[in-house]
Amino acid sequence: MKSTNLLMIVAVVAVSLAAINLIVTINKVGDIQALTGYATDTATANLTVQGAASITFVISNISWGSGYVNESPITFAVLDTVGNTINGTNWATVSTGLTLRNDGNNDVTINLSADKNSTQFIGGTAGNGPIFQWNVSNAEEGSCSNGGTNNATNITSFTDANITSQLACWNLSNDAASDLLRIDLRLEIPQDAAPGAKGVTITANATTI
Amino acid sequence: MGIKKRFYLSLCLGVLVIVLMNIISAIGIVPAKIDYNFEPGLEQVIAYSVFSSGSDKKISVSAGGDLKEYVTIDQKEITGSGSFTVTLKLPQSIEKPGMHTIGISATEKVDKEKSKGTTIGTSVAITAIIRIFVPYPGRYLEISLRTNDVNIGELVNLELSINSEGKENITANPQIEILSIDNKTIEILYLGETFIQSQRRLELSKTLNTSNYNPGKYIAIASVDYGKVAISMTNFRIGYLFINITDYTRQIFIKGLEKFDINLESSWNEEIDGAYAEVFIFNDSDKLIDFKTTSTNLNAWEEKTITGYFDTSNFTEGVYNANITVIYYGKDVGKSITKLVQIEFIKETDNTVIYVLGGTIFLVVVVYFIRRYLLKNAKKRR
Repeated sequence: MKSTNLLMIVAVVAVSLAAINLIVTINKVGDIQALTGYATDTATANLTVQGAASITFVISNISWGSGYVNESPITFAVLDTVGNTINGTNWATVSTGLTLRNDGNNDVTINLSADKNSTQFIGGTAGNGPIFQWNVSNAEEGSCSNGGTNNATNITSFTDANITSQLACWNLSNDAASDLLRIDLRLEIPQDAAPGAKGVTITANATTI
Repeated sequence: MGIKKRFYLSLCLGVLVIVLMNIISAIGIVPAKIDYNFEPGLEQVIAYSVFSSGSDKKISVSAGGDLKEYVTIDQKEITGSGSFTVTLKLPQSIEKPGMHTIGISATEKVDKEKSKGTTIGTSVAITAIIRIFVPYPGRYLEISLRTNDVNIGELVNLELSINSEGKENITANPQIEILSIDNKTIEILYLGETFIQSQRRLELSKTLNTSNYNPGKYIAIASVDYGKVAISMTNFRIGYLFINITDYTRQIFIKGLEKFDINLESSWNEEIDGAYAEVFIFNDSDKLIDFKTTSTNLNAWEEKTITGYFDTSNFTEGVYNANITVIYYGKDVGKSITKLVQIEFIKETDNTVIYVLGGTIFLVVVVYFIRRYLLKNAKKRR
């Protein structure tokens, strides 16, 4: 019994000491600001975000491969990038247009030009003669504003591609969710077009607004 | 990892890099746009950075625009990415006032190497602009007024931007006139005497208390009289918690389950929650049917259509009265609007007889011509 009482007294003393220790510690922590010479001040951080203009052809190449115009009453073949290969043999079917993205932090105006016209690119005279056309559409909703109706490009149907610069989109947004244009192409290849490799380069010129 | 595996992995990565190099064509320029007010003999040196998708791509640098003769570029060609400097030296005077633009273009040089087959490739060009504003002789102001839509009792912020584009300073008293949509002046707000320095922009603001205004559309016209009068006009709306029933289905075919559309237009400058309609259709004073439409949320001032479906089998042809009640909530306040309308029920024309008759005639004609053709052939053989 005596030893139990002794243990009880030791326990009470130990708990009391622990409690005092805790109070002193908390008190000291509260005083740290004064003890360490704590001081307040303000600072300013300055930076300038530069305006950048940048465009990327995320799909920059279209190839139908090699092929020929079928012999039939129709004297030309039609190739386009919306999934049509009409009256041609061996040419691949292409369902993807060129895709252009505004990567900068400024809206830009997009002009298109080709380094060859339809005669220089395809040649031949049969049917309607050589035809090389492009059509521009929004690959993401609201990408292009044409200066009038919103959400529309400036080439809304297949139009003859040209060596001279043609306005494709008056204002291509730089908003990440709506900064993508699709450029579809359509070719008519006459039966009498000279055989050989045929290539053309389309240049997209972006000008800061 | 074995040597073989490593070799194939390297090969795959190599092919991937080549493929990516081929499918991506990119170009960029910094800074994209710089503005200067014209000063006689102004000289500026501007450092540009150009970046492209290929380290070996040749990029030509050039200047364009009506003042291009006043810039010199220290490098005409860059390979891959790099920087160049444009020195702008303006003359002592430029005759034509207004905004002039110089374009600094970086153009990817086209690789003339031909691909096999019918191929279309691309190149990219980017143009940064330097804008030089040449002031108009004497005094010239361009002003622009901006406002915002509010709900009744809230403040409309009227923000007037004044741009002095002339060579002389101006002191003027700008004012903003508030008009109802039928062009009746409600009040004029004066912004006090204001000094506007030549070729500087000034932003003035004023608030309009709408507590005494009725909900609706209003016109705000800012004017600054400086000998000539510069004017800018804009509209704003004062809203209240209200949905207007602008249209509904007026004619319905009697043929089972049919849809009934109701067009709604919000007059509230905040979102309206859970708007739906209850439609009661009557024959004289007896209720024939009632149904509810889909529920929708309307953004500020938004127009939307809600739709309900009901069975039309028990209706006969004629015009019926209907009650459309739209229930909606704005900021936890519930409201409703009821409109008494008339709906015409019509029977769908039964075209079966016409189709059967047409088909029979067509068959008779076909049989007639076949018979004639066969008889002709038989005669020829004889």
